[in-house]
Amino acid sequence: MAVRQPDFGWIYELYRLAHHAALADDPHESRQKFLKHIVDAFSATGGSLCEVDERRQSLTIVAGIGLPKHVVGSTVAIGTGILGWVADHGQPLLLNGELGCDRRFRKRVRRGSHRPESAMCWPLIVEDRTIGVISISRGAGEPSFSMEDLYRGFDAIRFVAIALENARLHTRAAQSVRRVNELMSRAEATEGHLQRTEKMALLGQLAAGVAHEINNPVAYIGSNLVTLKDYAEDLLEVVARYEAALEQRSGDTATIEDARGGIDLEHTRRDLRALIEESLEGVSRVHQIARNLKDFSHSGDTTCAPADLREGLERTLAIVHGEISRKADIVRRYGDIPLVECRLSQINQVFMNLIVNAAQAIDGRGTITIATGVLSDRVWIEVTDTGCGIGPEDLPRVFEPFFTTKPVGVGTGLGLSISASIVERHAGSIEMESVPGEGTTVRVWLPITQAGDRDGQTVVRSAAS
Amino acid sequence: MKTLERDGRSGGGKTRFSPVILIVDDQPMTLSALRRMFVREGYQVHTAANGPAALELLEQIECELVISDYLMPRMNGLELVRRIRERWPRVSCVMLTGLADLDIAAIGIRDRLLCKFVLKPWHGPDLKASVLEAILAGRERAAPGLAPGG
Repeated sequence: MAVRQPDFGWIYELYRLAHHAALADDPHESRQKFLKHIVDAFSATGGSLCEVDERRQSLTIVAGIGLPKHVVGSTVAIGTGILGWVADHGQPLLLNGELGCDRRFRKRVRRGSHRPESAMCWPLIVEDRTIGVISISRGAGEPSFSMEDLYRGFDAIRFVAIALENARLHTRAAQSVRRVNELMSRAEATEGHLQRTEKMALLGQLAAGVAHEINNPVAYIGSNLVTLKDYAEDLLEVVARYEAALEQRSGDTATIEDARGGIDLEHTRRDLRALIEESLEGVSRVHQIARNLKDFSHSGDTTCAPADLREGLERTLAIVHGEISRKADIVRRYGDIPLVECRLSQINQVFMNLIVNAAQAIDGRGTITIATGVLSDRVWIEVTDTGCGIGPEDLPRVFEPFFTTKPVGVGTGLGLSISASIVERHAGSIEMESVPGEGTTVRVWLPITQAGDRDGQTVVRSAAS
Repeated sequence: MKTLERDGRSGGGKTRFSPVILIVDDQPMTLSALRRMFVREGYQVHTAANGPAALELLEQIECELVISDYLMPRMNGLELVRRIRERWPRVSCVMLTGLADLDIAAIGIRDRLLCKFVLKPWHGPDLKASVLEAILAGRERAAPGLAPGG
């Protein structure tokens, strides 16, 4: 017999190959080698390695020798065909001669189809579960396999089945990890998108207020310019009359007095500078609003930089002023805090969300208190309202996406969940306390320095002033 | 809060057109711009920064017309003009607001609280014309046939 004795060295090599399949980058190649090791040992001319799928309903041919190319990768339902029978029964099988003669397979194989002369099939069993099937075969004219070959091979293969199972688990784990990574990056992209959408929705809610904020200075600047035009005409008129008086070379003071006739230069002189100063202040006010909006909508800032959070709060308050001022008085209790390493436009988005929420919680008129402070290596920012409060049944849910108690059309239900995720990404935390009927306090904790910038970009550090 | 500006132009011997008006707005710059505009037209201008202050001031002065903002802390403009019209039915009210809310305008006109509804940013000549028209209409109601008197 040409069958090599399955000695210890051979089994060790088989085990090594099976184990290798567990760690290899190319699972097909390593399984192919594993199969070849068996095929060679039994001087077979062909063979196949199948694995049972997760739901235990079909077999997939994962390696093949002497088979048409398309066969590898194809599947067989468990219970059909010879391989299916072996997987189903968990028993080794020796086939010699025409398959159709075997009563077990009379209905399983088509008569006349090409079949090898002699074949052996072994189930791969781990803890009473069939995880796959190995079959090897010899063509016509070759010596047939014996029962001894069958059981000698079965013993060896039983021994390495566990290594193959490891290979399979490893592959599946790698796939899972890849899938999880994919999902995570997709989730991250979605989150970024949602964050921007929420920001735009927030701005949309504020648009009327912002328009009002801009309209006010534009209105008085425009009005002042019209008045300035009148003033200028008066002044030019007086100048023209003076020139006319000079032309006549009359030293008569009465003529000069006449030149002012009916024009109150005193008032113009008193008011002119104020008019110009107030208008310039209005222009810088519009400029400030535009700058605040730009800061707020800026989504490209992905690096952390030391920022003055109180200035962030003030800019945010300036944007929401129109929306807030008719509902609440703002009380500032700013404690000294150092510069905080953060992505300021994102943190401003959190501030805006908390302040708008506070205002929306207030029915009638109330107070919003904004406080800051520092505790060891963290700062806290607190927004407290005298609004309607949140019931204990709703409090645990407020950070859930799409959870909202506001009427349809007010808010997206994403504000707090996005705020929480922004704070989380800064390695901070967000807390909420509420007493129904009395009001709500939201406290944001942020570390003063970020341990490492998540985007792998250098954190700009400078001494806190 | 109480300011009184005399007419800028020195009049001759005849009675000057110098109605007393009150402007209510929470933005000091807006008050300032409106005051200088109306002072130049010969009005005597008072200003107040909110509704309660305006009501307090009205107890002390004789005023023909109130120009009020809508969005203000403590009391909105509609509430203010409602109270003014209840207590001083002869005072005409004009709303001057950046909030283009038709409901407010509709309520104001329906309840005969407002004689004009003007949007910010205002157009000087239009606002002046509206205020003048409201004052003349008010005088006509008070003493038919005599307007425009001093």
